[in-house]
Amino acid sequence: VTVESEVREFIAEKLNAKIGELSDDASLIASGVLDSLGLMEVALYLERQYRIEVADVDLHADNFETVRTIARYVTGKIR
Amino acid sequence: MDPWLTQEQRDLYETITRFAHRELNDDLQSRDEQGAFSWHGWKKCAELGLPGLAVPAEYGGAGADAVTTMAALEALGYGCRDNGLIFSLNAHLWAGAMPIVKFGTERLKRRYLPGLCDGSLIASHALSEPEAGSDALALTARATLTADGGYELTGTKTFVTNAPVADVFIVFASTDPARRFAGVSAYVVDRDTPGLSVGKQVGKLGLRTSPMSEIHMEHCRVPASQLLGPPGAGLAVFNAAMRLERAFILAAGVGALRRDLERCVEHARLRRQYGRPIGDFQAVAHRIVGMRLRLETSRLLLYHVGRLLDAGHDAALEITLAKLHISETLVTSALDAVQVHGGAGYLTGDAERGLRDAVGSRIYSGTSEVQQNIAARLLGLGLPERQDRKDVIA
Repeated sequence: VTVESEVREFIAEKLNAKIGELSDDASLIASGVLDSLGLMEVALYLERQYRIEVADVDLHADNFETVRTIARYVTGKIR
Repeated sequence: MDPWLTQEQRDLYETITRFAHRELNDDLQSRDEQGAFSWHGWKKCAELGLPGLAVPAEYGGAGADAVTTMAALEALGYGCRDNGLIFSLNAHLWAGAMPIVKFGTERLKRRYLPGLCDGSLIASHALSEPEAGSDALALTARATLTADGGYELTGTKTFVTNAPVADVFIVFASTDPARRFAGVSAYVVDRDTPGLSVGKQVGKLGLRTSPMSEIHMEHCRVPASQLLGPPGAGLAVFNAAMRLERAFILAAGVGALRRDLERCVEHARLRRQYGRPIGDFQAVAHRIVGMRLRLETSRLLLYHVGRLLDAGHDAALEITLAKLHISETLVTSALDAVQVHGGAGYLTGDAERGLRDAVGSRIYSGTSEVQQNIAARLLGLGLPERQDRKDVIA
């Protein structure tokens, strides 16, 4: 199990996206999968799932553009 | 004995209460009818350092911690019956000055914060639009990159508290609507920027002494140095401002609850019907006991949040619950205050104005419905069970 696969599964289930279309580098923002409410859902999921704190200042596209950037953000926080 | 406050904070509470009684209540009825902002009151608050309460001292603020700030605002709400002035002060501090503290460059901080703290500048937060309320980032206001690397802002903002009196606006606009929240940035815009105009003051149910209007931007050019945070950080700026505003804005409401309660107790003791004080009747007494109980629970929630913030916690759930509870309590207790005063409470005056002023608290800084949605998510409702993390490849 990877962070990428878990995040992908969560987004597919909660944000009504097709898991096959959520490649690691596909933009979740440009595709319309992730809006501001969805972003908060993902942030809360990350906080609960990985016991990290997602600060307000971290809520920007650099961290949430793709499944891969989300996973990178999470692993950076865990370390 | 107040278990939440130190002796120093209690002294501050008493000082601000006396100050507010003395300086902030003049001519309130007339100003409420006219929707007139109290420049006198603002200047007096500024002399006491209230517009910069939570701003770090190095930028001219008081640098107060959360509990001290709450105590000061509670005292202000207790002593000052001009709820509109207090609302303007909160909007200025939490949605105007603090975003600059948290996201501004050193140059922006040095340029704006001293004036925002000494009250010579008034700040305003311009996010909402006709079609972007609770869905706050569904903006139509646009920011277009200019050849010199700056931005040109175009669009209309509604429900802009302080706009008629503000010197500086925190304006949210999108450079790329297709990127939704990620396209939204926040800009610090001076009132005298060419292309920015302030609309006519709008009438409101309550908080009438806190002026509000639309602002319009037409080819309004701002340099890139006026950006708050990196491009696309609008959501982060908004979230941080709202979290602070929700945590603190109803501290003054708790003071107002105490003021209303004491007025009701006094009235129930003095007002006589059937040959005895109306407080002798259980129907009246129980209503007042309910007001006292809600004051206590509101105060507990408020200072619990303050303690958590001062201990370094984000207190997201506690802030949401406190905002929800205190705002609902303000309306319930304001209705009770009208009822205790009977016909006199229905006439133009403190109880009537208090009720009108209270209603807004269930709407501003996120409606009560939005607070419940946030709380539900923070409780994990709708989220999957947390899995054992041992098998995750980081």
